[in-house]
Amino acid sequence: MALPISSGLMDAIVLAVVAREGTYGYKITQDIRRVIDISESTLYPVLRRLQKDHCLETYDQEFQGRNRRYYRITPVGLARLSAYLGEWQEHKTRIDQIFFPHSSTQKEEQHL
Amino acid sequence: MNRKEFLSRLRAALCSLPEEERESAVKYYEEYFDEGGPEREQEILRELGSPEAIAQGILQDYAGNNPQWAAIHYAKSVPSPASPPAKSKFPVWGIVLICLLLSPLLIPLGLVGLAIILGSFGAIFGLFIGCIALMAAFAITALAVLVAGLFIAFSGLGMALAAPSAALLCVGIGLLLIGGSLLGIVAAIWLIVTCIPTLIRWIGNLCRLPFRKGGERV
Repeated sequence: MALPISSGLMDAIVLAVVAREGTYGYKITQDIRRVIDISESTLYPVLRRLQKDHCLETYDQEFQGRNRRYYRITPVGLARLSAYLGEWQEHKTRIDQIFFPHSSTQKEEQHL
Repeated sequence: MNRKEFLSRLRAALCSLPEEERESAVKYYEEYFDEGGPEREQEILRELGSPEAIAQGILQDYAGNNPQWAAIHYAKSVPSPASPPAKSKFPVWGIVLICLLLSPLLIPLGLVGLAIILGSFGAIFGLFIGCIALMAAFAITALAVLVAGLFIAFSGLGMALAAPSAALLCVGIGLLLIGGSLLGIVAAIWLIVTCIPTLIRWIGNLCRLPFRKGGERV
């Protein structure tokens, strides 16, 4: 079953990947595609939007004689990311209550 | 298509964007192709698909965050799920006028069309009645043969003492006729019970055909 990825979730995924290290568009796409099947064209509008929202900033670095545009996360971006992570955790717990009732992880998360 | 064509088509499809936005997008994909290298160029082109479609995604996203720009440059000609289909610009009075002018031609044509439709219905109905008549005739014939068979058999029995061989012949023929007619009656009943409902359903489907545009099944 292919679960659709909402644009909010997509934002969070991109922020999380960029938060790990400054990285460039092609690599971000490939990193995400290792885990989720997204189209190679999905990423650009997300990156652009996050940039406009000051969650990401860009810097150029030369690589093998050509230019590479890197993205790095900003404090605003980090704040937004941690908000998303909280929402995700909550969402995941709720859905797990339906999919895997009486599981021990559920009890753990209730203590957080 | 090669990357150069892709990029120029992308740039063209983004012409309504402010220059900085457009160049940023084109640069992104230019670098993307650079990263993939010439070996991956065709594969990337396949994955990316049409540059116009990608441009649509970019325009849509930009319009979502820039309502003033969107009011001028976006949404008018682009189909969006919420907006209803644009009404045809052809004025109603024009259509009425054309119909009036063409009426000497349209009316006879319309009548012919109507006649054909009615005629077809008549033909179908006639065939249906014909089928029923045929089945009825078959049943009646079977019954008649049964009666004849019974008559002949009993006549034969009557002759048994006077002319035994003739009697045997009659009884034999009579029994044959009775047997055959019984089979016929069973067949007729089966036909009527099975075929008439099927026929009625066929005719029903045929009548509903013009009203069902591809979708429902009984």
